[in-house]
Amino acid sequence: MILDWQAAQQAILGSPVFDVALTVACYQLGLWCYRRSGNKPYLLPVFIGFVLTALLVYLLDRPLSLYETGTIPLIVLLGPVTVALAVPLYENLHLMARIWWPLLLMLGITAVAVAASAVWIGRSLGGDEALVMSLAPKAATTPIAILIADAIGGYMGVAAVIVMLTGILGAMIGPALLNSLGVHNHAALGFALGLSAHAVGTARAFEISRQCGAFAALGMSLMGFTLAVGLPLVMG
Amino acid sequence: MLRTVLVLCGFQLLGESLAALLSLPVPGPVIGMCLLLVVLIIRRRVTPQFQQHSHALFAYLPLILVPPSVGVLAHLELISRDWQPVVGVLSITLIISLLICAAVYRISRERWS
Repeated sequence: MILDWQAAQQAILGSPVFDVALTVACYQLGLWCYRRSGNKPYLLPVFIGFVLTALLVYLLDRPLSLYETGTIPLIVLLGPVTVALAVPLYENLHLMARIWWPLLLMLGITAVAVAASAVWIGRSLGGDEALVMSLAPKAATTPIAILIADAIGGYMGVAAVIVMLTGILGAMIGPALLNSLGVHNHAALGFALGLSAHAVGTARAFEISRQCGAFAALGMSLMGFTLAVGLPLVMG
Repeated sequence: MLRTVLVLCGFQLLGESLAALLSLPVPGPVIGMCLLLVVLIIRRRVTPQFQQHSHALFAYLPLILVPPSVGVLAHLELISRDWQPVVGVLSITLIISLLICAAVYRISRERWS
């Protein structure tokens, strides 16, 4: 019997499940690293999963279009999951009851200042316009940010990575910086982390306290909502 | 679970069709999210099942985000050429965001306790 190794390899690389399997395997490895490290923000499963998958796609010399076609089953879920973000927003809306005006003020100024300064800094440092449009939604949570980037002429991939890095950096320096600026109240600390560092900031906030985490989730949802509606209307 | 997924897809389709109908630049799923939020606020409750299934979906959100992120490979040349605006925006806007939050907290401190 002749063993046709080349045909076997072709069967794997040409299989319709190859790209999904590759992605899930890398993500699982990221999840394992994250848990082993005691939840370090820079070992975020999605970040490690992304780095490993990108590295393998690159090393295997796999055309990106092939990888993108292969992962359509995963990408399709992005829409329904984005719709589902209404649920945590609704669940945390009651937190606004007593302190609605400081929350809305913090949300409004931060949203305008971060989006405007991202565009202004990006342009004045000579950034390509499509690149700047990928940076503008960086305060929104990833699923929303990539939809916004796509809607205003940016690149989804660039937006996704920038948002991840923002979240990681924010979770690492946010609590210490806010503390040193006199923000010790857990509600305010959480809300600020949610506004500045979305999902990673929220995960970090839940480590501080439940209240801190709930306000972070509220901040993240409100910021995503505000930018998703506001940026395309202003930029579009 | 299938019912939750169907409801979510329904709201997304509603959002996409509204965006097309009114020529709105806002992404369809985002409009779907807004509509679902309005429905939840009007009904004043979310069924435990819908809540549970939505959170089950969120557990897979990071995994779903890996493929779009890998798309950055198509823009490596652009990023290595324009690394200054990328690093500049990434670091400066984060500091701005945290400083503003701290400032607003300080002017409204008594409301938070």
